[in-house]
Amino acid sequence: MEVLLLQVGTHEALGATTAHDVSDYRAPSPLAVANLGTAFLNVARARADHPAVAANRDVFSYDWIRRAANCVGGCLRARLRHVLGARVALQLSNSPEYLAAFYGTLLADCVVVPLPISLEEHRRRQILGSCKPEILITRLSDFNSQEAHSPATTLALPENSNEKISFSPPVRRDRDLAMLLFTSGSMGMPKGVMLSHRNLLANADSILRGLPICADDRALAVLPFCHAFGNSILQTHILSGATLLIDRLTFPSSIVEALRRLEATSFSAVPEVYSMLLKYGHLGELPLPALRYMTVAGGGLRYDLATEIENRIRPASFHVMYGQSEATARLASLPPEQLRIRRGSIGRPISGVDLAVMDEANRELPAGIIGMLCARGENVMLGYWQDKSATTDVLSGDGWLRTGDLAHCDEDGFFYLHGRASLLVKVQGHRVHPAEIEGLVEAGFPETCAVAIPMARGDETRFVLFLAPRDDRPINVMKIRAVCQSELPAYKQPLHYEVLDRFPLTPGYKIDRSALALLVPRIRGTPRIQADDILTQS
Amino acid sequence: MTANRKQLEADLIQFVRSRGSRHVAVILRTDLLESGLLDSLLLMDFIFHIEEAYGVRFDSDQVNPSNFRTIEDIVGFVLSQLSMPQGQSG
Repeated sequence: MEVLLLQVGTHEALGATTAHDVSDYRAPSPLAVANLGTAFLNVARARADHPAVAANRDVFSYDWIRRAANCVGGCLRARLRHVLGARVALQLSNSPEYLAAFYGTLLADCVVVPLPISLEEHRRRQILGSCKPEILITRLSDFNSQEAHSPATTLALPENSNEKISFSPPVRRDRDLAMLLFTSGSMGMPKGVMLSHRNLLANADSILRGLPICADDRALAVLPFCHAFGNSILQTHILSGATLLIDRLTFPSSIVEALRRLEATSFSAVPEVYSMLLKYGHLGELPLPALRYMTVAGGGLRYDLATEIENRIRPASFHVMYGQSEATARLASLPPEQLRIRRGSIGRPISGVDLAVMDEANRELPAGIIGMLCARGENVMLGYWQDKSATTDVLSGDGWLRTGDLAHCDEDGFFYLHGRASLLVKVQGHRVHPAEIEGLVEAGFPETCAVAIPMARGDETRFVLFLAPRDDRPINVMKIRAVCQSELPAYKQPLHYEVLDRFPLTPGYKIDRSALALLVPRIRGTPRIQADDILTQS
Repeated sequence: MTANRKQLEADLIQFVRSRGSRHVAVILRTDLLESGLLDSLLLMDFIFHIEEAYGVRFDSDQVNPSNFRTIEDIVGFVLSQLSMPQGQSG
């Protein structure tokens, strides 16, 4: 795998970031073309001087991104013997380089594989081993020091004087694979969600019909573009000719401050970010006159927090949305005026999407009955990468996707979630399977039986790890904790470790996870290490 | 107190290093903000970890750059909170 390091050369300095360009521009429907790269080029030519990205103090126009994407595309075509469908991994944080690499890869007829910039090493190996990218595109600040020895080529954006490029338009279209999004599968192994050009264009079109996104919008992009939800923020705004705002957004207060300073008109995030904004961000204390709306998706936001956000951002509106990577991004939306009427609802299907609640035999259930939430539409993925059996588990022949979420529908067609059908848990918008944590512990400590149970931590979800001996050997909690800390990213690490003599069993002699879940509230709130231990004089 | 400061430092360094290969070189005085290593999700995890492991609660004004710039700053903050005669919950 060759490494391509992107480096930003010339660009405009701060200036246009706060200039409000009130234009009549209306982007064509994303469905007017068959290739996402072409859709981008059409908007980029029409919006050449408009800022596409305002990153910290620099502004990158649509023309800049277009030239940079051409530069990346030309470079890929020059380097790859077989470009058609070749995988190109992106390891880039939100940046103009990400956009150049994303659209450049599509313009070269390759497939984008976005990777989170902080990824556990074993997971990274699994993903790269599965899809075998020819090239990894990154930049120095997003690059792992461990790989520094890989042969790397530096590409200066937006133009590389050594490689004058003019190349033919892309030929991949419609149902051809455009993007591989890796997500946690049912047994904890990563699964590659295959999204076509049509999937991405159709979902962007649906969202644009439901949300008030326009060409003058300025969206503060806190979600990583490599995430399905972050990607849909990227596509919908770029295909509208709007501006993405990128800033240092570490602290809840810095998000609120950036919304105000950059005059953001919209903001989208996962539930955990919203609870942080409420708790530590002083959201609503200072007015945000430019803000028109906020959206939440990527997990359930508690009803009282949703209404609290709505109160604090008024007169801006708050849109609760629902979706999943397998459906490109978004499936349902709750109109803001329904938030208090349809308490806890994820709303109705967005344009171009059908939702239904079905039983085990894929028969639609009547209103009020809980079953599997299923979705159909042009945004539903092609399938999982090189995994036919996992694909047929969730995709039926007639195009229905089983989301894995339990739900019911009310008499008026509004949907309500009732948790995951499987053990998958959403943490920070990422799906985590308890088997990932249990497998790690049991592999290293065969004398120990481990069961990870989700626990509510404030408004978030984390894990308690229950441990029980398999034989008479003792359990070394400190060592197990050390392994979890070194092998798992923080959000997957158990918050508590609880040793039991034996696990409760179901009548079928399986470990009774619901009985363990009942023990969780008893453990909560007990610090693992007493304050006295820390303060003891040595 | 110094010995236990060491324990706290080691715990938090280990915690941040587990984040991924970009974080393995983090030491006590690495500037987590300047280097871009502390993002909003890691910040959230830090808060959870510290609240759960040490019983320290953050006020809204305490989640700021001066308490989170380096591991050393975080350790200093946790120790200052632990030594305050506040109601010890949980």
